[in-house]
Amino acid sequence: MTPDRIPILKMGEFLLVTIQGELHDSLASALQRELTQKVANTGARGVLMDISGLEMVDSFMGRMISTIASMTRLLDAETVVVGMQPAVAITLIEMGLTLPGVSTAMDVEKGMELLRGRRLDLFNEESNGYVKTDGETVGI
Amino acid sequence: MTDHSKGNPKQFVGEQQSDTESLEFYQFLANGLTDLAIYMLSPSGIVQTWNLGAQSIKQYTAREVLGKNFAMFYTKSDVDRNLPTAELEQAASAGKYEGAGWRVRKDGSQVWVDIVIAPLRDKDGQLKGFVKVARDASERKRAEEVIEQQKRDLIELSTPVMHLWQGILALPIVGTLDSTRSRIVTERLLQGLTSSGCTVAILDISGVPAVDTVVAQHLMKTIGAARLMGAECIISGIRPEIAQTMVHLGIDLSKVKTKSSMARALEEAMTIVGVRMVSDVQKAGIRG
Repeated sequence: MTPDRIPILKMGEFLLVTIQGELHDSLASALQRELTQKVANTGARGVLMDISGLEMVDSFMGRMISTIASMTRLLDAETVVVGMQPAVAITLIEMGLTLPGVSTAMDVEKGMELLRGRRLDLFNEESNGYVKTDGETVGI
Repeated sequence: MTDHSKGNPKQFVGEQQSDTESLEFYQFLANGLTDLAIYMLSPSGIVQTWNLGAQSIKQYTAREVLGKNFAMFYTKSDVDRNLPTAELEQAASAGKYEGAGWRVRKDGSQVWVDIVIAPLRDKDGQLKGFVKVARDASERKRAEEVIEQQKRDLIELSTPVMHLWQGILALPIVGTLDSTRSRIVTERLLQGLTSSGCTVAILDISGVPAVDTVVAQHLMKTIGAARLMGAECIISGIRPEIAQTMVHLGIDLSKVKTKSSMARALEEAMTIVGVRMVSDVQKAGIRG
């Protein structure tokens, strides 16, 4: 069953998008609009795109993933694609779609580790003291 | 035993010989060759003659088949897709049909046969019927199937996927890396990653005899697919000769981690998954 809009969940400082069925034109445009809106509104630092439920991906989908990653990056949020199935990975490679500039992870948990790790690197480089409002201390 | 009620024997064999000689020759041939089925068909495929070879292969006696359509020997699926008719048509238009396939014996068992169907024409070129020659090739087919299965087994055995450490897989690739092998390596790697949840895979190529641009492309595809899934690959086992060849060929592996030995690769993999190796516990001051 294809939903008429894809739900975007807030998970701490990240957003989680789960793509299940086929993504037709209007659904894709709606997702791009809503996602960028939400990233800007919440100040999210990362987007996890869960495609573990997708058994097939075509070039349209591949381009859409790259597009969303580029858009969120402009808003200072990194997109990580998680849970790609083996058959999908092989198909994309055969099609020559290597999704450059798009981070990937085996599952949502590892995706979040990746996003947190990146941010840690950023703070270590700046060596700034930083305390988040929810009490979590990062860096020195 | 043979039924020539449908026509003059002269119409079935060459014109140079006399009637009696031709018939005797044919009977000698047909009856003497007991492991070859040789029989004649009408233009529409009705069995007109039979021989001992046909009887031994198909198990039917002459009385049981004469006057019947030869489609009775074909499997149901072949009959459904009109194979008997197609074979006759091809024989008539091309002058000969050569093929192989499953046929059904009287007891219902199946036999794999090599067949040749040739059209018989009179001096005006009119189609008078066909002669069909068939040989039992079951043994060869069984041997071929064994070889195919062994090929598959060999490929499976030569691409083991080893879970070396938490989060680390190792795939020693032994033998030439052609496109078939490469596809299998990719499938087994990706499947291994999914089921183990590992994020690093070491592809050891010390057992790959030659690495050229094609092999390198296969490796890049495999690594690319793993990367899309969120796993990193390290190539290990690059021999000095391979290193030289790759550079001479202009193969660019700058974006891929490569190590000369599995040991080095394991060290690197552990760093990636966040494990620190300590060789002297005492010196490092770690209390057990």
